[in-house]
Amino acid sequence: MKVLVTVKRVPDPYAKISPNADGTDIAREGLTMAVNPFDEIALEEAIRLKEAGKATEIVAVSIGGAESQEQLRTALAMGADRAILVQTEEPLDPPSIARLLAAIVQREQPQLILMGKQAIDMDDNQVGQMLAAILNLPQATFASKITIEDSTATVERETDNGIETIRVPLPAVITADLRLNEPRYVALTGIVRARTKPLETLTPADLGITPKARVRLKKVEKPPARQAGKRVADVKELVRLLKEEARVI
Amino acid sequence: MQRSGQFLVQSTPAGSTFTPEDFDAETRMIGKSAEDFVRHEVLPRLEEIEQAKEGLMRELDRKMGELGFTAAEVPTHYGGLDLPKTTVALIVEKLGPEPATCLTLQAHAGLAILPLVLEGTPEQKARYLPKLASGEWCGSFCLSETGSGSDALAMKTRAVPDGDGYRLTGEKMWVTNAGFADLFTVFAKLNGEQFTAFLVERTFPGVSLGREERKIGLHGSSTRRVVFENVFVPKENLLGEVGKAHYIALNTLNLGRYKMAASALGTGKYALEVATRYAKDRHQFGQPIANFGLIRQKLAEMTTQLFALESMLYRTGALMQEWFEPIHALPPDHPELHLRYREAASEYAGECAMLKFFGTEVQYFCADEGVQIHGGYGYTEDFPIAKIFRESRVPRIYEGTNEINRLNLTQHLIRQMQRAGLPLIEESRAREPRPIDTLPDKPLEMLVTLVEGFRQATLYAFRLAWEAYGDHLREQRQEIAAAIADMTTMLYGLDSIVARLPKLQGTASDAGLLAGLLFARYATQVMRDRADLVLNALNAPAESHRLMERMLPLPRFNAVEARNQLAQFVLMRDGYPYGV
Ligand SMILES: Cc1cc2nc3c(=O)[nH]c(=O)nc-3n(C[C@H](O)[C@H](O)[C@H](O)COP(=O)(O)OP(=O)(O)OC[C@H]3O[C@@H](n4cnc5c(N)ncnc54)[C@H](O)[C@@H]3O)c2cc1C
Repeated sequence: MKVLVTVKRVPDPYAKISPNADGTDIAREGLTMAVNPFDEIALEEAIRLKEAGKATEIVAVSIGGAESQEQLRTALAMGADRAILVQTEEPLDPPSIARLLAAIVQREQPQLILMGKQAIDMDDNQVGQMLAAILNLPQATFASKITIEDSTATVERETDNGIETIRVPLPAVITADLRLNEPRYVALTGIVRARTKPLETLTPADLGITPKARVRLKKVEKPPARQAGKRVADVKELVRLLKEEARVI
Repeated sequence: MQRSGQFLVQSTPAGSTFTPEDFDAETRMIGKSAEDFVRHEVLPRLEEIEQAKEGLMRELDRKMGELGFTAAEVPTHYGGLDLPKTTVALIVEKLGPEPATCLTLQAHAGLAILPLVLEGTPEQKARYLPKLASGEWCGSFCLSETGSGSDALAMKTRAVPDGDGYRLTGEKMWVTNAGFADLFTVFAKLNGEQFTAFLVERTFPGVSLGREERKIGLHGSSTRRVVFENVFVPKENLLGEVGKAHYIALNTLNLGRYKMAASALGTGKYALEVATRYAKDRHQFGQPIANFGLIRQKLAEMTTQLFALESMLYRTGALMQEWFEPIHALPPDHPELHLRYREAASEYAGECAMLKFFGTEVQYFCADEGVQIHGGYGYTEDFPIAKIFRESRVPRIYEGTNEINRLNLTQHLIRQMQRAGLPLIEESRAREPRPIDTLPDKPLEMLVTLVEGFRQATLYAFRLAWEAYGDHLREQRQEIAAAIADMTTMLYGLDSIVARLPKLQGTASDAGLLAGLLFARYATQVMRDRADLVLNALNAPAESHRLMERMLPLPRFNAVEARNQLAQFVLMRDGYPYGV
């Protein structure tokens, strides 16, 4: 079974984020970048499937600038077998990303597409669903447990009402939630081995696609500073303020 | 391949040194692997580490083996990674936030593994290196004894030939990793006089351990005595040449000292980071204490010292790597392998000694100011800075005390002059009549001029001391030798900063220039103090004092404003503002 895993370059979750001077983007200077943590979980799952003898090949795909190679190298160091970068400097929206990924899926014909449920930079939570829709494949989002048997995946997914278990025939798109697994650290031996693993670079044109973003980023600003708390005399006053000032009850 | 000490006799072209900005993506990934390990596996377990929970440090050591940290300096032929010395330092630096784990790694991956790498036979390497590299085994280094520390050669441990091997008797003190090491690299006198090293497995009959030492800090690291009672060591476990174990001990320590500067950098940066966050959170007089000039001044000075250390450290690592690189290409059974390793590991002994004492003093300074920024809370175990402070005392003592390493540096310069032809005296004569009358106003030009002045002043002091004491400087006037070591260090620090500046981009570039100016100011004062000490001790004429002063003009700029600006960068980045 061939598994395709998506890998997005995002700011390191521990990095300090602030808007840039003109509010067109976040300030990127000196910012540490990392693999989207949910994608890391998806990749870890793929590696475990391979270790369990269920997957035979893991292909990591990223869409973005040349610097995304760094994150693909990380994926290779963790255990992916080869990597594809769809190189574009254009800012893309989720539908464009989904279309590019769909073209890659058609080229690669994987039995399983594992993705993070969302990327922590934009938190859109859309690409997996859109990709499944474009390809007309079954989808299982927010997976917290995946069991593969023959050509079916049994997936436990986290919903607001509890754990839902669904079964989807493969090929399918599965997106990973936080509790699916704990990704391994990249070992130095893996990093050294990754030197010789193939990393192919394509352009959207190679895939016959001219992406056109319909969603544009207008402005980046700091969230308003938190107001100081207020001391109230008694419960009665609290209820009155919640009603009249905060208007939450 | 550059020779050691070149910075004393030649100016360094801007941008010509290796700096952290030169790390490629793969090396940064390696650094991140170590950073992730510390963040997720080590820092969450601080409490257990402090309580020296049974088995925990061994477990962390094994994990560092799985991740490949312990294999960093092992040749690929024996299951290692043969990483460049700069990358090796980066791994150690990233472990700096938890000094006990970091020391465990240094004792295992450095002190235990390097003697084998440097002088082991192919059979010894094949037998022990793969296990040590993978973390299956842990190792340790047994040199010090109760009665012999700095004077290691006065050791009492003895070996005598016995049938197909040797009998080893003695007691080693302060053995890091002793509690769980599988292999002890033991230094002893064969037949009472020939300094020789032996590979002793823990399971050899007659090996036993003392209790854990009750230390001020580093509670997570195991430090015990190791007793050898008539231990039989088979002859194939004699390491290196009989009577020549000083090569093994000193060369291992050279590389160890280099890495101690890396851990000092990592711990110092962590102290800066926690102090910066605290300064932003803590309010007094209705505002964060980070607003106060006297707090900002501390953040700026910590940053300045760390920036100098970082620039010196990685520059040296790359210079050493040039000597190690060609060795990696030799076949593992090359008959002169150990000789080539000796050359490579000793060439930069002086710079390594310098990095050790300068680095550990920067670490201590950062830890101490970190506590001060925390006020009373810094004196409690509720904040991480208290532990960092405790851990930061002993690095000034082990792997050669800072006094000994100052003497080592000056001694090394004399050796370079005598054996490698480093033209210290000639260059001093050539440069002497060039005092600085005015400093340029432009900051960068000012720094370049100051470096040149530092170089002249250091050479001048060295020459006068040499003319007075010659070879006996170290024994007869160690105060002067140490003062010259300090001057050499200030020169190397400023020289390394100035060479690095063109590589910095964006705000890091502005912050770099500020740190450069602030370091120049600090270093000029140190230079003047030490130069004055040397000249007076040598009864130099007034003319020499005047000349020296003119080589060391004080840079004039608004240091209050510079510190405030640098602190602003630190506060913006929540810590060290030059990032890889
Ligand atoms: C936590 C810890 C871990 C250690 N781990 C190891 C280890 O794994 N393996 C190992 O072999 N050793 C280890 N050591 C030992 C360490 O290297 C020694 O403590 C160190 O070399 C100093 O020796 P000493 O303690 O005997 O001090 P001494 O040599 O007695 O020094 C006392 C003081 O005198 C000064 N002094 C000594 N000689 C001179 C001189 N000629 N000129 C001027 N001043 C001088 C010193 O600088 C120092 O200030 C460790 C020590 C500690 C505390």
